[in-house]
Amino acid sequence: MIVSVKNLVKRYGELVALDHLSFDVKEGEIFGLLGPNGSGKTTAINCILSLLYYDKGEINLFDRPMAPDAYDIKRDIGIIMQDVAVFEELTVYENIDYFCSLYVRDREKRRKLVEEAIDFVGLNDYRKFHPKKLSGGLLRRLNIACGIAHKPRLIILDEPTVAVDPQSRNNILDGIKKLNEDGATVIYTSHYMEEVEQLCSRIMIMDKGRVIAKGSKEELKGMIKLGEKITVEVFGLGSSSLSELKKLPNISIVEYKDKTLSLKYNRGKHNLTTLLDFFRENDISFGRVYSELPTLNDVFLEITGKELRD
Amino acid sequence: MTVFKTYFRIIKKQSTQLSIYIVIFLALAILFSFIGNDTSAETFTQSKAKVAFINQGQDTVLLQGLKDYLGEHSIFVELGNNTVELQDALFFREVEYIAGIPADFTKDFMSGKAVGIDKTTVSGSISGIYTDILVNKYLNTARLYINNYKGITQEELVKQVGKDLAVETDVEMKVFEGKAEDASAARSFYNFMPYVLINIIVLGVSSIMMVFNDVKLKRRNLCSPLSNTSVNMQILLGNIVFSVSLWALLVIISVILYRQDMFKMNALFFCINSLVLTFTILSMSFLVGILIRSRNAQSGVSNILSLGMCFLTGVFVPQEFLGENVLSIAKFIPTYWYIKANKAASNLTNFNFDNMGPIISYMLIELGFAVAITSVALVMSKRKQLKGV
Repeated sequence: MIVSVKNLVKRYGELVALDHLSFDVKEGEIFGLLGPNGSGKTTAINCILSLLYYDKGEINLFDRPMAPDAYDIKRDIGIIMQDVAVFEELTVYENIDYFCSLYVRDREKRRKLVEEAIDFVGLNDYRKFHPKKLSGGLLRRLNIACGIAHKPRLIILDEPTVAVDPQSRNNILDGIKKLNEDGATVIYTSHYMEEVEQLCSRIMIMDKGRVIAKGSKEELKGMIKLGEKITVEVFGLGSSSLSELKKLPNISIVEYKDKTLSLKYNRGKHNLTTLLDFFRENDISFGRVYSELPTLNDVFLEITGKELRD
Repeated sequence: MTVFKTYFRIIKKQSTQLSIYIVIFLALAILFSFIGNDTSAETFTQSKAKVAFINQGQDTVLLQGLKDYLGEHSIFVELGNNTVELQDALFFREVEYIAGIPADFTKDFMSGKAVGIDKTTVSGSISGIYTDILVNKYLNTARLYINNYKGITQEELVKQVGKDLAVETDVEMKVFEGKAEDASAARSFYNFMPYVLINIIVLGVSSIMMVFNDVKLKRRNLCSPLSNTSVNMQILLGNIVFSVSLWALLVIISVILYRQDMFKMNALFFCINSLVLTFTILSMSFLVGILIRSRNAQSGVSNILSLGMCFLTGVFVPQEFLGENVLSIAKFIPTYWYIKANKAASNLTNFNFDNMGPIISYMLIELGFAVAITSVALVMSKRKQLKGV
């Protein structure tokens, strides 16, 4: 195992930030830590990195116990913090070189690695720029370059796309996939379910310092009853038709508001076909039709009773 | 030595701001060296006062004798016998001494009557006093002859007095052995040095401390395989190298500017004293770097510290001119002891342990400040670390 966390407990006075948290990260996977703000994701990362003392539990990285002075372990970790941590006084190149030099002493090797990192994040045109002159997206890319330049075995990204424009976000996500393809194991924390869903091979959903679900996205979605959501633009629907609708197979919830009919189905087949047949048989005219599979937000909603972004 | 190299990369980015202080200091040092350098009295030249001689009566041999004698030591200025004209001449310093001779002065003087001349001088004028002394000396000598040689003629009197007063004493300027070691220009330079040291070291060191104490960067460094102790030691080494380099630069400048002064024993004490103060300022800068959070505050703090400390402790104004209350407060500021040590070093003529004792004591007090301030800074740093990371 690259990372093994067992029964981790972290308290801030009365508040239990991490409540017997346990998980493993296997070599070569992109492991997603998903949860709303304040769920304990960053606290867990800080404990893994020995930036925080914890009250109870065990953390092993690369099958060795992690400690503040475990410098051999730290040598193989790349960290990209939620807040951009770079020197305002240094240029893009100098910043990447500084962070790389914390891990790699050989100047020639380092020069090569820094060049590769600059290429990787696409900051070639900005190498002599100071961070103040960079846009939010470019700054995030610099932050990533500083974290990955030394080619670590384990890369931890703590909400790297906060306040980033969609284009830069896609660049960052593509970059993370590339790093993983190149052999790095990735731990990715976010409260953006779409990102985690798109990127991660295994996901752990956290809330209030506890693990509420973990597995692949398919496994997670399989844990809930919701199978499908269908939304239809309906121009006129009487109460009798609405009652008949509720009798259709697999239907769990029916709502009709502002000419929009929302239907939630339990797991089952041919739900859309059955619905369209019903409209035809009852001569109900309809407009646009949308069908969605359940998202991780639905998983979170069903397990916790609240939205992921509450 | 990643952190150490980065330290100087950051300092390099601020070199423009820091060099401004060095330029200002150099300009001041050169200016003061020209103004304050000519304080020694190793030569003597007799000065001549501007004198007006107004005779209300007849010209006589005695008065001509007096006039001739005064003429050897004064420059006569011709003025009319008009009160307003005389007053204007005094006011505009065209003349510093006006000798008014009463109408029957010679007759009364030769008969032994107590008479005097009417003198008008510029108030507080040294030349006026000097001329007064000359007039008194001539007339007193003449009076002596009149009292002792009955029936002496004016010609004989003038001849005798002239002979007596022609005797001159050679003036030779002697200086104490130690005065040869005086290094007043260099002392001025070293007295002003705290201003530039405080400004540059506080700005430089606190900038670095602010950067490396930034929680985000600190946490990022803690994630690396470089130990926290190593980071701190490299920053400390950077602080010392930076401060000592600045001190060395200023010492080199002082050697270039005051070559003659700087190869005297006194100058060695100036150098050691300034090095000790450099370490004290370094400790202050360390504390400032821990306490302040913004760049705006940093510039303000460095100016308040440099100007406040320099004005209160005798860097800009000699300690002799400061009030007792100010001096009582100044004793709690290291630059006060620095200036005292400089003064004592400047006056040093005999370099034995007894004489050097006070200087060493003052330097130890400066070092004491350094230790105390560093201790406070370390406690603050520890508290901040426990809160922050």
